[in-house]
Amino acid sequence: MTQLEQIIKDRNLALVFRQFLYNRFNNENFSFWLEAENYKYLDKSEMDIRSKAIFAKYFLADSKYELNINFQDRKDLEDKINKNSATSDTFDRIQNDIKKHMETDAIPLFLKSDDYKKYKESQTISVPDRDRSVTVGMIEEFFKNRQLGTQN
Amino acid sequence: MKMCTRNKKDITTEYLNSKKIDKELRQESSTLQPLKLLLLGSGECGKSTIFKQIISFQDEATKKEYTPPAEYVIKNIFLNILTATSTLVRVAPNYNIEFTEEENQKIQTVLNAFSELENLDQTIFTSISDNIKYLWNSKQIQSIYNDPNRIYQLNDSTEYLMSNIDRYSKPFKPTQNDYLRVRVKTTGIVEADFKIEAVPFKLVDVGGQKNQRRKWIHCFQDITSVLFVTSINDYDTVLEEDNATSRFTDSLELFREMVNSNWFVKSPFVLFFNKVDLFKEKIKRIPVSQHLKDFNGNDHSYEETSQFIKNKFHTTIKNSNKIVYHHFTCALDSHAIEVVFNSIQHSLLMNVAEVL
Repeated sequence: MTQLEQIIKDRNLALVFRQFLYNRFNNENFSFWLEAENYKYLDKSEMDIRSKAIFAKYFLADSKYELNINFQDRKDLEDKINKNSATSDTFDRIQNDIKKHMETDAIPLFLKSDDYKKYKESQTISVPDRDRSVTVGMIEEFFKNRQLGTQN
Repeated sequence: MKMCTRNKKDITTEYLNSKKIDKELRQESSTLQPLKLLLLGSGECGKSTIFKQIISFQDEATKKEYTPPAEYVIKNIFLNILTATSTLVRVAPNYNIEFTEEENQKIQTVLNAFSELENLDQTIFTSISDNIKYLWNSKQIQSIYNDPNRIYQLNDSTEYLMSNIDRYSKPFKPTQNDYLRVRVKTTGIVEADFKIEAVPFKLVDVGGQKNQRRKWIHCFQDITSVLFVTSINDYDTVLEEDNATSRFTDSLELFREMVNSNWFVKSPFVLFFNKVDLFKEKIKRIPVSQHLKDFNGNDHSYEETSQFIKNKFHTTIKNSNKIVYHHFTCALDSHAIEVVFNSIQHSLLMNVAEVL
């Protein structure tokens, strides 16, 4: 099991991880990964619109959430989105690269952090009750999708 | 090696008080705000390497807290090597370079491992390391690697890692050099807290690509000193995130913006010209004047080329009283850390003197 999978098998740990990233201005990678994962569960008819929205949010220069990927990968994705109709694997390659990036950059630091240690000791989280963060919403959707996925 | 725009002798009087001030600093340290050191610079210039170096000189507890376990370093070495190999073979068609059937089989084993990174471990790496070594040494790959007008992005540590591949091909303990050379892209803002002789420090590292810079402003407050890093080796390359912008121009403009920024009016700068080891090798192959058109000195002279680049940066500084320490360095140069702390001590004394 990869490190990211270890984190996202536990909803609360995913929330702790999200908070850790948020405090380090490094949330867009996880947020994109979740959004790309949730995207796969969409109905085919919704994919065109959503894929363009995801592209605008994470890949356009000047977007607040622009991902740190290289020029060629961005261009390849842009071509793919403009030329073809969206499919469930539209974001697969970049989603995988982003996962790899989190597993080399943020996750090793997270696993050594006080946030992680505290959670492991107490199993409780201190995410504000009224946290309306978009990523928290994505985490909820992710766990809902995953549950539906295992039921089917 | 090191050059200061101001000489230590200028502050002889203050320097005499240094012992007293040191003592006061120690006594006040429990109530002191940490001295904040901020690493800035374009992507891949070596900020995180300097971060690693500074941490490696601290006490055991600090090192343990901020150094990843060996297993991560090993995995990242494998990842760096596989990424470089697959980049080089994938770009071959653009160079009209072909491989024999036997070579193609070797390539396939590498690409297969690259597509299943989840499983990448020592056993898998060992099984393909001979193939990687063969490909790296092949005429075809070497000609792609040595192309003076590279059309692809490649990690600067590739040559180092490839030359050590025999050692990585069986279970090994990563050396300090391995750890410093291995590339992991930073995103977001990474902080480390530690104490030197009871004085608290906060070292801040950031991602350097354009898309990361909008985050920088969150850590601009109360900076004791900016450690600006530029890769002197990048006079001939373009940005990873934007292939229309030269890395040299980007770094120079970024320095201009930062060194003249109102945020850092009172913060002395340490300007690192990093990767001089690679630069010294590159100027033998790729003339500086070909890329920096206004250079008309001797392309093969390290002294002339490096001074030219240093002056380019120097002339962007608008305030003639701005304190900027220059240092030419490379990943394995442990002097970097000394320079940082000598410079900071020096500028702190100057600041204290100003208050008095």
